Amino acid sequence: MSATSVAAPSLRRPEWLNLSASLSLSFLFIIFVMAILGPMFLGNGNELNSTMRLKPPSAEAWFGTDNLGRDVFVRTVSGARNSVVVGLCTAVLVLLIGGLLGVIAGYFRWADMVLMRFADGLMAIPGILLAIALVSILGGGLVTVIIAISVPEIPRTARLLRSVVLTIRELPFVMASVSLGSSTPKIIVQHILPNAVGALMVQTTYVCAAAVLSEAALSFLGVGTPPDVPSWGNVIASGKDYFRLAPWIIAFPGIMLSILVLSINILGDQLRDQLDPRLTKRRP
Amino acid sequence: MTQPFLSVRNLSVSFGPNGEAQVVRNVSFDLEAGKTLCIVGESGSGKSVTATSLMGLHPAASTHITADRMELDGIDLLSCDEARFAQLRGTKMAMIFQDPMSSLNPALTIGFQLREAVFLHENLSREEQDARVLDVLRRVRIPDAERRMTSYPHELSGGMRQRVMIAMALICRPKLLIADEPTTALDVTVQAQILWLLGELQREFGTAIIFITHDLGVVAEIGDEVAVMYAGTLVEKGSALDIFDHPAHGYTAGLLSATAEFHPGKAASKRLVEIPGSLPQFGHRVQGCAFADRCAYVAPTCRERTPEWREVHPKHVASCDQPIGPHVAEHQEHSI
Amino acid sequence: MQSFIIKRLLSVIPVVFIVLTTVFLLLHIGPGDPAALIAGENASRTQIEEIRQRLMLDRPLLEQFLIYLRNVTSLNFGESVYSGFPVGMLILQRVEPTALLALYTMTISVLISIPMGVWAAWRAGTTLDRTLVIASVIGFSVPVFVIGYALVDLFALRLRWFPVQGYKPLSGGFLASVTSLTLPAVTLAFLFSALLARITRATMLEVLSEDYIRTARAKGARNGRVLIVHALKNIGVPVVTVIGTSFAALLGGVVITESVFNIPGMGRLTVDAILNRDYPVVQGVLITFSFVLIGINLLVDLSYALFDPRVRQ
Repeated sequence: MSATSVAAPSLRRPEWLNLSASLSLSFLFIIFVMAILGPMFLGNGNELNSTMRLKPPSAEAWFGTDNLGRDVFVRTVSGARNSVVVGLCTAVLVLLIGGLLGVIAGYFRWADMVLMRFADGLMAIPGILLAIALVSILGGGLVTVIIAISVPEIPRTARLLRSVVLTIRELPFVMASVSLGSSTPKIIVQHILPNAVGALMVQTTYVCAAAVLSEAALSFLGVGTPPDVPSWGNVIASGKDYFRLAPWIIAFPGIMLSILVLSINILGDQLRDQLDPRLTKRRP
Repeated sequence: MTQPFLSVRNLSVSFGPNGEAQVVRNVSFDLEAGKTLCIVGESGSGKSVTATSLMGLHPAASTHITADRMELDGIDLLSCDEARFAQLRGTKMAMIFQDPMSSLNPALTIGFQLREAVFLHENLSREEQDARVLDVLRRVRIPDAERRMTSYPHELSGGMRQRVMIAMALICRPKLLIADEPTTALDVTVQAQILWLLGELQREFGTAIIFITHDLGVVAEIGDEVAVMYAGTLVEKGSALDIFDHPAHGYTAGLLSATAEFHPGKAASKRLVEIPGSLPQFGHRVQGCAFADRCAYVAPTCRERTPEWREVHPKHVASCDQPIGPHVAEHQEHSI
Repeated sequence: MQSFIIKRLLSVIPVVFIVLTTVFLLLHIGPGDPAALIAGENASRTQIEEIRQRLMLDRPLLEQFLIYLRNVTSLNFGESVYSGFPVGMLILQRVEPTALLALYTMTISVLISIPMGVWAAWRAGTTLDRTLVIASVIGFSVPVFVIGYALVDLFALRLRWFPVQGYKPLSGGFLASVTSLTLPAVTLAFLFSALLARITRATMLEVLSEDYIRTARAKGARNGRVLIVHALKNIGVPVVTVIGTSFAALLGGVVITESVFNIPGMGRLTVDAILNRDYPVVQGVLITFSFVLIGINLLVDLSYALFDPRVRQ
């Protein structure tokens, strides 16, 4: 073991034979393909067809049709794009901002107090409500939805990174580096970040899952993506009033949503099990 | 001939659903009432597992324990189930562990944990329990015992915590105390106090002690008998005096050479000799003597067959085909 | 111990301040004119101006903030732009179903998930344990509204055990009220229990591998006793902590559940207010929710003293 990374988490050889991990990855791949190719080949599914309203699943409409005659299958497939885009963008945004703030708070004591108070304050407002409020203030559209979902997630990620950094900072090889006179940026880049990567990766998957759920919730409540851009949330919302007559409008996108989030979470759990859990626990 | 107080023959312990990892192999030893046996070896030699197997503290599902005999004061430990073990623990045999900081429950008071050791086994009134607790706290020399009863573990120092552990172990006067490296986590002055305390209590209560350690200094202090373990098996057994003066097995000799000596007045002390190499892989079956690759006295035959037990001295045995004779050991000393 | 309580109470102040400031600033961080935003797209110039006057949006920002602070501390949340009713009154009208739903959900969750988590840890590696782990991941992955509709389909539409939607207030009888809230509570309980069971199990696993558990067994304690007397108290802190942190998720879920089941609670009030740009109501509700969260977390922290003697020093 080298002196500089005694406790560095290593991604052990992924167990491709692991059933749940491979299932999850397969689903994610399918959904990813759907997201990219779906709208290209199938369009938006916005075509209205008044003769085919509220028809149950059949050979022509695999998932049935909704109250405006739109094909639920097409809408579901193209809805994948929204969820994937929002999920990924939010995860990246939260990772960058939350991660940065967390590392700063963990490493610099003066920043810690201030930043953590802000985090506490922000976390005291229920995330969904804050997101809805932000969307209504900033206006609709994909970008504002991403921002609105990211803001409540940032404090939580910052907190996590902060505690990881606090742990790493106390490890002997970091103290050794400090006493040798290494500059702060060098320590952060060379020692802290590589050892925080594991926790970061795991947290990112959870943020991604939360983002997909939040976007769906926002769309369901009518505050997310506009109705002409299908997302699983607003397809489900459009089925709200017809639940008794045409449950398939809610069922199919609902199942897709569940599978997507489930797969991401399972992947996150597997990642976490593979990586060294010691670094995310603080020794008193 | 009376049976020794504790008698173990060919104890083997392996872990894993199919018993793949054999940690202890054919360990045999006897212990007489009121005496101290020191089990010596490095980390990973299987000494702790041997001890915890005597107490039945391993998870039954994944542990395979076999032995020809495992008898304590006439009780057959091999046929004990968990319920029987629970009866024996604390009353017939007790154990103290290495880290007193983590071995006491941080959420419960000292008094409660001590009283528990009593009321688990004896039907006493609250006052009687308290009296017993106070008594044993005084015997382990804890000052201000009454106030300590309502203290929590984190309010005590390391040395005091270990005394509490000893008190908890001995409160029901078991005849056997197993001490698994109880002084390793303490600093040297406290270590001396604890060792002295254990000696006193042994004299008072007549307790037999199995003391597990890797520190030969401790062995010299309190050991009557010594058993040396290497890679899961015993390599040498004898009285402490015999083993220190005339080590027969290469490993024992190596351990003794690796101990620093301080000779006041002399210019240079003996050079610290290390044992080259490292422990064989877990569960990896070796042909011949397990120590052959690291032994300073190895002969070609050592790698071919499992060494036999030879009595190099009365009541001093070693598992070695080329035991170091007294003349060899002396020669060794002078040439370094 | 007293200093711990005082310190903790004091630390609430900056958090409260940040919450109030954030809620205040929400209206002003948008690109456009706040008054126009509230008035809506089809408002006339006069309507916009009227709103600007009424909500004092023409004053300098700092002055607005101070007025706002003064109002909040005297619990004056202003009036609804939409309906004219005092915001405080609107909140009080809607508090009952939301509070009941939250309480009901928490009760179900705690009663189910803590014993299950403990049992799964005790029997780690068995089928029961694996089942619980999978069930919890599913529980917090499936969206609240999907679970909600699935339950409605089965238990309300097909089996007819529960009403499809709506809420019966307490004044109409306790049993009727609870029945109307059962499906919503069970829906939310999926999420909450999943989070709780997960942490309970993980913490229990950690505790069971601690040295003091080995000591207890070495003393002669039997399995049941070890579990209840020695292990349980030591999982208190993390479990209670996760109840506190999951409460925010619970409140978020309440909003969605009220929408699915058409319950006239605070969640619906908030969503409607936001959609209607009824900003005074939005402010009032956000502040109320936040204060509840802060209160719950405060209770959580104070309860540490019960579980961990080290905190009492």
